[in-house]
Amino acid sequence: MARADALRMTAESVAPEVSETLLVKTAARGDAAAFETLYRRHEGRVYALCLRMTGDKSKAEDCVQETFVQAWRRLSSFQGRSAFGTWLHRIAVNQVLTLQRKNARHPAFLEIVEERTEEPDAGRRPRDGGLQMDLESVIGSLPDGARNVFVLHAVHGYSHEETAEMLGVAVGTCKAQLHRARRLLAERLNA
Amino acid sequence: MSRDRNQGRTDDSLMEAASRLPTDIRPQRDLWPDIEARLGTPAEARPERRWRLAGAVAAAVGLVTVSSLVTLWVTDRSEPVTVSRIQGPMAVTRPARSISGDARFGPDYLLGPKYERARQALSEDLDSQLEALSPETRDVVEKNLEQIRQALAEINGALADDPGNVLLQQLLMAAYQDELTVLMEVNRMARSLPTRKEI
Repeated sequence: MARADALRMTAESVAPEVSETLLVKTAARGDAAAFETLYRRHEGRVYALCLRMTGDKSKAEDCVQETFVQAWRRLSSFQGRSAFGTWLHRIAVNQVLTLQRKNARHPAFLEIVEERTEEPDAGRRPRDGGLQMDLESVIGSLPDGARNVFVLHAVHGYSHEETAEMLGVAVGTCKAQLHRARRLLAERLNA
Repeated sequence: MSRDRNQGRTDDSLMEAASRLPTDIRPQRDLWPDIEARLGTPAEARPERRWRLAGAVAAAVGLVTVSSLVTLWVTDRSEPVTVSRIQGPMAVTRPARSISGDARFGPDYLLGPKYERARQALSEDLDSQLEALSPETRDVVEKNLEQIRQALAEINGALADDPGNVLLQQLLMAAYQDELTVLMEVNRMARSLPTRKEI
């Protein structure tokens, strides 16, 4: 029994035992090592969110960095009412929205043109095994508003209420954007 | 109507496919160094505390690794320890190794009586049990115990500065647990050896 315990007590097996709450408290007192552990645990989920919402690796990396810097500064305000990962996602969404507002590369009239125009070289895509791969690429072509809602709700599983709160929009707007996203995706995947 | 149904099925498969997309994607490069460079030290956090904590963490992880390896090494030894080694010269000159003092838990607390009893019981015959082991096994076990005690002292020192630090408390518990594991292994090995009378 003792041997089995010893087998489990390797350096690798010790780290995951440290609870997230403990890491957050330690990091909030200024411990960068604890915060790095938190970063390592959550970087993938934050990056995935930022990557899909921005559709650009470089921008996603910027958002991830900014998210964790902001999280570090605000750690003392984390009350633990939601999961730490959700709290990080909220910060990440704010970073993406700020970036989208700054860039404003897709004014409203361009979004309308995108909706009405098919990609000339899109061709027909397989609808079975390749659906996820196609979906991944087509999500990136959605207008910002629809893409944000679709990523948060359909991919990351947040409810309409949570998604709306994160994006700072009404629940009705959230549902409308999701409907729009689904319609556009269906059109583009079937094109 | 049929078109609507088809549209509905497409929508469902879309949402299902979306829910299966990976939600954990690692960036291609390590972003931590850039993030770390931008982390300021919060005003309320004292730098020396951070270093002490980092040192204590390193010590605890180190001791757990070392003692686990030692425990594995000790328990994996298949050849029996010969009795002739019991009376070797090294055994005579060795200092006392029994664990002395209470198991402190930071500046203000001691560990519970149940744990303390187990620790004392295991350490009572530690000297004689260690004598029963081969010199090389004994050396490794002793070094291991020394490292554990050093780590315990360091973590306790860090806890004196920061009594409410839950991470340190957890590390200290792990270190005590590790000490107990080594003691139990020594005890078990000593009991499994033939006594002089039996020989």
